[in-house]
Amino acid sequence: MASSKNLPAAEDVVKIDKWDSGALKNALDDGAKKVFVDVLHYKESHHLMDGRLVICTIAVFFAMFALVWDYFYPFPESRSVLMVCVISYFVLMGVLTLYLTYAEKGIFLVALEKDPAMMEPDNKWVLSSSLRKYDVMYNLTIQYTDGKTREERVVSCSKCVASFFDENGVFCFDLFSPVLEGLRKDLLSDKKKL
Amino acid sequence: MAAFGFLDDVMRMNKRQLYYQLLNFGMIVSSALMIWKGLMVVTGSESPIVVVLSGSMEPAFYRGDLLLLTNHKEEPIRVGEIVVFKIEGRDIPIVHRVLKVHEKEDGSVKFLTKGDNNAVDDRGLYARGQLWLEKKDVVGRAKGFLPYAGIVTILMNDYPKFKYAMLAFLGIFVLTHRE
Amino acid sequence: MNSFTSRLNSLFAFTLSVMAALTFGCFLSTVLNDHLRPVQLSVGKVSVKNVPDYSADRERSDLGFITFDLFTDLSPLYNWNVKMLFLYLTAEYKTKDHELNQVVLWDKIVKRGENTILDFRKTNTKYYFWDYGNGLKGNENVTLTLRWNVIPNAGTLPNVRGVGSEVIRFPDQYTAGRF
Repeated sequence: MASSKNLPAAEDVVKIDKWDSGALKNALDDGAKKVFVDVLHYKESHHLMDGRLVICTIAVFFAMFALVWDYFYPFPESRSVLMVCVISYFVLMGVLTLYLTYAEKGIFLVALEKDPAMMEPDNKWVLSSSLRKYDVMYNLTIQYTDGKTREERVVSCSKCVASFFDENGVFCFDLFSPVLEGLRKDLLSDKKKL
Repeated sequence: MAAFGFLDDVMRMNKRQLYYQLLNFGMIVSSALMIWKGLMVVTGSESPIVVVLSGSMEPAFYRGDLLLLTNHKEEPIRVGEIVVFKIEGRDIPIVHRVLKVHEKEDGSVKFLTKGDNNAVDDRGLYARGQLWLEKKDVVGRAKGFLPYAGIVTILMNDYPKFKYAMLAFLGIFVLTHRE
Repeated sequence: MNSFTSRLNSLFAFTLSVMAALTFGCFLSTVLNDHLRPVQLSVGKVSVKNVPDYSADRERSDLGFITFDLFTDLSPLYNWNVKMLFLYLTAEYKTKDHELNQVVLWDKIVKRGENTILDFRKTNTKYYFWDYGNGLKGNENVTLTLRWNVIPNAGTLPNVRGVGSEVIRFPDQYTAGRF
């Protein structure tokens, strides 16, 4: 249990339904994001999320276009336009599924560690996680790509979610951030070993 | 604010996540829309699925049953078929069976319908002075049947407050629930 | 499964899925049936009059009169996916005004469980045999067939023609007086 002097401000307390796997994963992912973005001040790259948003926006656009076109040119005449829109929509849905499965793959954060001297390219930190429904093991994977050497290192860990939440479902950030710090140090020290 | 616990997730979202929630809602609406329009294109009917609203076709169809329609131009109208038609000037589709067909060489057709559960044919239902139906009045031909599946539509038609309440509930649920 | 509502929700979703799967299975199990049966038809007295059609446009049209005999055994057509059969006796013919004419003279609903052996002797038609015009007099080729519309518990609604027909030959002269 976190002691009272370590409790964060009231608005920062994250309380969730501890039986909801989705909420658990989201809280843990958000906690990891907080370490890398708020504490370490790495810059979050939104490319993956933006890709997803673009695909979805185009799909919704096709649907709305079909709706409006059909309103002005009632059905039999709008047949070919509708056919194009419907096929495009479902193709885009397929593209989205492929994108989520192969490009995103559980990644919830891409953070760029900028070189303080601004001379070398950024190091890239990619965080992904998984938590199966009704399971208690949270698997976190951190992939580090060095900006200069282009070398890739991966480290992962599996922890029981109960170690980070109290009985009321309050997320204890102070118990979680040391785990991330440890993983980060593992990755950096690995680099130095070689 | 304690009562609105479900808004906690929303409060914690950034701009992109909020836009994604909106998009999620949009995609659910779009998927339903695209499936409906897709069915329209495939079946050729402006209303590919209809719910039986009256008891005029009992015991074959009861209120709340679902019918799948097709309306391909090449399909001829023949007696015994169940057609869904609209009387000019009225919006309500009627589901009845074809009783008589008179087709000319050029393909133009005049036909008469009657509900199975009605004692007389539909001439009393047609527009003033109209004795026959034509292809243009047809919304579609019933090709498939699914019992009871349209009960929710009947409930929503009979109790509009229920419809608005359900739509509002579903909308709020999708907008505030994080994946 | 932590709250009553989530359990209720899961139960409801599961029930719906199972019912949908069973319904689809029911449809699939009988989709290849051809619903054919032999039918014995014969016609007794045949006559035609030419009178104003008060049920339609009041023009003088041909009005045919027949009595018919019908025998068929439809028992093999009934299975777990047949709710009822809608039987309709159709007269089909060609006139100089219309390439194709179809008129239903008699219909019957036979639900699953009811008597499925039909044996009608010297029966009058249920509906008047009006032509749309004057094409019955001397018409040697009016084909009488028994058809049925299969109404399933879930699935397609085929219209099937019974195997067997009878040709009605209308006399060259109109019959005066009553019948």
